[in-house]
Amino acid sequence: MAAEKRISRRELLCAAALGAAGAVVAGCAPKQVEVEKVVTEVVKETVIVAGTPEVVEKEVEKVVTATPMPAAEKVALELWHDWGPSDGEPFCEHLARFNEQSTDIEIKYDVLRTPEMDTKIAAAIATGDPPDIGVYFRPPVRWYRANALAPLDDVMRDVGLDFDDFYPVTLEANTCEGQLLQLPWNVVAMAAYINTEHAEQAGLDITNPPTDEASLLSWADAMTERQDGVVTRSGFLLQGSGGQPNCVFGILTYQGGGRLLNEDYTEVILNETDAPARAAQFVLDCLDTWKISSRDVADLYKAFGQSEASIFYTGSWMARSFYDTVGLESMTAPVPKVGEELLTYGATNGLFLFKAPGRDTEIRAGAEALKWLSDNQVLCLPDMGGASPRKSVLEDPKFREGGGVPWEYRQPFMDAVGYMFNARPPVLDAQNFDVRQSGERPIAKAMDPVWLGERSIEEGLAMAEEGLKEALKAHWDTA
Amino acid sequence: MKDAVLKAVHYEHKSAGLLARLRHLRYQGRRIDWVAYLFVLPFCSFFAVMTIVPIVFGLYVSFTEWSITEPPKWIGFANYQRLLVDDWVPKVWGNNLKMAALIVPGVVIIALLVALYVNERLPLAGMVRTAFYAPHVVAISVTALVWVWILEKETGVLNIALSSLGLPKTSFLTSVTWVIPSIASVSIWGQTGYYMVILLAGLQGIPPELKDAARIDGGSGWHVFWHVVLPLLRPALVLVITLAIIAGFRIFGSVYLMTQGGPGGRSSSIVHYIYTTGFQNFRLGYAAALSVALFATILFFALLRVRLFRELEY
Repeated sequence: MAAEKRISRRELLCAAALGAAGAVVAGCAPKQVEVEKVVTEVVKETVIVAGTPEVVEKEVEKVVTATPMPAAEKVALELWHDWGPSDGEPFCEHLARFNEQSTDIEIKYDVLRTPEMDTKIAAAIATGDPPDIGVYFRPPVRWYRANALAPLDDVMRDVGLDFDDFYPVTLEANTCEGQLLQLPWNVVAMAAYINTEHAEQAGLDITNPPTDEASLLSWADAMTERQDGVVTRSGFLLQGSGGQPNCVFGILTYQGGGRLLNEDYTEVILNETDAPARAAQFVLDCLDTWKISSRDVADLYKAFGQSEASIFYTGSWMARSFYDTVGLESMTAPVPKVGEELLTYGATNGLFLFKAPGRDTEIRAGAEALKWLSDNQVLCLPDMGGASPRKSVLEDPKFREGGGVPWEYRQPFMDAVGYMFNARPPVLDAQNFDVRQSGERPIAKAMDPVWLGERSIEEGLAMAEEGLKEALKAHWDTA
Repeated sequence: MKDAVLKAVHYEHKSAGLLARLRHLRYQGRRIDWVAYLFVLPFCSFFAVMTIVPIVFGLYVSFTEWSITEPPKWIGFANYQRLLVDDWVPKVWGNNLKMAALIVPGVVIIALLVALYVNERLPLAGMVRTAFYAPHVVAISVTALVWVWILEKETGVLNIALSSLGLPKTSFLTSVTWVIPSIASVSIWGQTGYYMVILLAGLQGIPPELKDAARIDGGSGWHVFWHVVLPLLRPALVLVITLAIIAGFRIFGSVYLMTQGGPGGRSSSIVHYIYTTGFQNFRLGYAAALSVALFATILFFALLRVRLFRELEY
């Protein structure tokens, strides 16, 4: 018979104390030194010819170490980005190329989910330990206001970046109070996707896509399907509220000569012209008078992808997806000019450097890294879909041939860099001024009831202006 | 040297006395078992750090203006004053009340019917139990996508079925009339299984002899249910109603994924508004004030429930 051993309270307390002490000792123990394993092998190496985007592959005998290089030999930079797989993978490959060719800098990266990007950056800044490089889809004014950004003008000039190669509009989009906050990386501009199968069925000439209001309306009308007066297939894709009607309203406002803000972003000037009223009327007419658009679209991308709509204004981020969609025959064209000036929606993504006490070396290294990534972006950008903010890259034949989507399909988005308006101005919370908005943001909050027929255009525009003024006040209050 | 030894002995005695006193401490006449407290200490520490401290901190933040990157700035009741004049607040509260008004009775009635069916071991009871519980274990991101495909107007499965019956197609997700019932239906579908399990446990806890006695006394099935089962099931029902009210006011995932609050904010929920205010606009102070208001709303309904059911509990 086995003896029954009872544990006394004292023994239990001793055991618990010993366990806790052991955990503390284990936690405080120095890290185990990793033994470096050295292997020599023949590898294929990608060599980039200095100053050109030429890539040469050659076999070389190389010492491969199984452990990372000691920190003292390379400046380690931490980069955070929130690109999804289609953009993120080519970008990460680009970072790997940088690490491979750089002898003194290594970029380590974390891929964050977009909804958590802002909060993680904010928390990192609050704790005084932000990453070194960030990638952002709007001007990072909030981090600049928090004194956490290194302005790029001088530091990039010091490492020899050629600012003249950039389209001025992309630099303006990221300049706040005379400081360049982020280096433009790619531009997502909007063009018109057109279902060519619908167009051909309607007897339209797809070699001459619509270019103005009249041709846009006639194309949309010809391709619209209706049943008992109800639109069952939108010739011109809108929704009852949210991003798409607001975006079309915004593009048409700009094309009609209207602007949301004045040039130095100090005043809201939405209602200084009648352009927004005309733009709003156009959206309402599409839905109610011309009946070329339906309010009953839940998922825009699915609607166009499944040939349930014919003309869709959206960005280059959908080019690969729509081009590859089985059963969808489509083409792209510049957005038609409905007003005085051909303008389209354009937003610039960029790379920026955080600053923190004692980080001068990292900022210098970060600037060098940003310069290399930008100078060689032809190796990566065609696969990411957006347009380059750099003239030399856009004109580069390699950029035009790359990416797996024919140039003629991508071209309207690339050309748009020349006539886009900055959809995300360099002010605090630029999303409030981005016309592609939904929910309780100022334009959506004011105009969604207009699209739903519950508020007049005049009331909506007056309310939108008030909301924008409040948002702009928040920008200047934190200056 | 002798003095030092004496001091050490004295100290030892003193400390031993303290330990002994602690060991023999009594509360309401019973000796305190410190080992039991040792066992609950890890949970209590974790609970305090992860729940109590954030609640208190959230309350503090609601009186401040805070964007994370700067220290919170005390602004008194300004966030609460703003809450009273914010026209989006009545909108989202109204939306949530409508959703809760549909979700709570819907989920309780369906869960009760399913629990009764499963409890009676009727044919296919096992399959029914699994079928109703399955949605609860599927991620909301998946179910929301599936339901968007089901509810879409032109190509949605439901509308195709309605058309084949000669009924008109309905804009379930884009019409101001139908969007809240649609989201409420998805919530009911997703939550019924969970509440069914709670009610099933309640039903299985009812002694069979009580039902047998009622039957022997000539009670019909309905009488047994109404006069025996339902009163004894009341604690479980009250729990389910409370949890359903809380869930109805905390709805977020389906709104975020299915409608983004549209059309025109008609399906925007309180938590969706808190999320956009706090984590997209970085007005954390105001978001915290909204959260406190949501807490007060839920507390009000919970107290109302206590008041209504207090007389009836067994």
